[in-house]
Amino acid sequence: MNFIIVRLTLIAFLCALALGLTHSSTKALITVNKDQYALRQLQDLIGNSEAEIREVGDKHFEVIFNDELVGHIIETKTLAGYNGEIIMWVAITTDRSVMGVRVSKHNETPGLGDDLDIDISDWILSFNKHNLKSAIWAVKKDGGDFDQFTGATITPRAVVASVKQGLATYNLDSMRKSRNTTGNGDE
Amino acid sequence: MAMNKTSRLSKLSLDGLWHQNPALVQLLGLCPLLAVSNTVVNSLVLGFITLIVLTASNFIISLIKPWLDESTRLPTQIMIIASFVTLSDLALQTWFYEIHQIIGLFVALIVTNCAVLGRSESFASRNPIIESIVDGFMMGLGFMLAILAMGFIREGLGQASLFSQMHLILGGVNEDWIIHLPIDSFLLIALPPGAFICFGCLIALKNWIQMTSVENRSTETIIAKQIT
Repeated sequence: MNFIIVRLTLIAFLCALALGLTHSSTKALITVNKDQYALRQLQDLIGNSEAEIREVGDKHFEVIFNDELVGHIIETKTLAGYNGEIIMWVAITTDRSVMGVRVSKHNETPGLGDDLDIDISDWILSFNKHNLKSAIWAVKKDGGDFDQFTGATITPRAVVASVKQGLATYNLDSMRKSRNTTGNGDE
Repeated sequence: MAMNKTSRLSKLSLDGLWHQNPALVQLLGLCPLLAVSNTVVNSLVLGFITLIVLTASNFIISLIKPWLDESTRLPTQIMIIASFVTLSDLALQTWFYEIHQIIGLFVALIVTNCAVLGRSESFASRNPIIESIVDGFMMGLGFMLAILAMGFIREGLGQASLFSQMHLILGGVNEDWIIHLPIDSFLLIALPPGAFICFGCLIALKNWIQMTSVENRSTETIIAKQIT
């Protein structure tokens, strides 16, 4: 009986040792990968691989280019999609126009609603450079300026409304305030 | 004796790849097989990790089998398999972070792949080391080829492309690798029901090949008998 315990403990110890050693030697690299991946996603979103992106709060980033604050990246969500929540990043310039939009999570029907995914179609780029006044924020079927997808109107309608709402609620002053209250500023 | 051993190893290989193929005959590990086979790249990575885990766990378990008895065998096997899965998960995160973002969940689930525990329990814990390694490798290869076949069929028909996102494992950009097929994509195949349909067709194809080859052989023997 004792032998069983000793043997199992020994094997568990060896396994834990192997895992622990691997983990401690790969940890640094994995963290770097993770940060790079996140940064690349955000730089891709604003279409500028030189920009500095600084996390200033929960799901809230500042975009700094040539030492100047050029905009913010915020997260918006909508439940108006066809299937569950659609979560997206919206990058907005300080003068309230869209730098870029990317959907980070969705469960829309593959082949119908998933054209909002940048890997599948360029549709999500159609928001770029628009502000609240430069376009009618609705899908074409509703008399707006943005294309719907073939066979799917609900999904793009939800995304358009959510981006519009992000733009409408974007307010530079409140951004500054939230930055001060979260206290992550490092200057 | 040497001849005997070689023929034994080649029988093990044939079993793993064809006669006892873990996916197509034993129907094990279907969860990753159906869920991850939507593109060639995903299939390749998951199949390859399964291959490595199977070979490594078979090796270690065969190595330590003298110290295992009825009551410690299963927990030990699971522990070793889980360790190898976690190690490969860490390795994937270290070297191929983006592909890990796509199939990471299913890498962790390899530990529940019955094909892995099945081989270590029914083979590696009762057989010599070399045989166990060969068995693990060939079973893993059989699984990898099955999931790759699914990946080719499903990406080809479902998305009308091949090797999309290959750059995540081979470097460069997507456009370097992706091949667009001149066909209309058939959406159903890319969806979960398509996975079941493809898998059923693959099993049917395998059985059909086997049946025709058996028929040929039996007609040959009949002819041979008639001649004699």
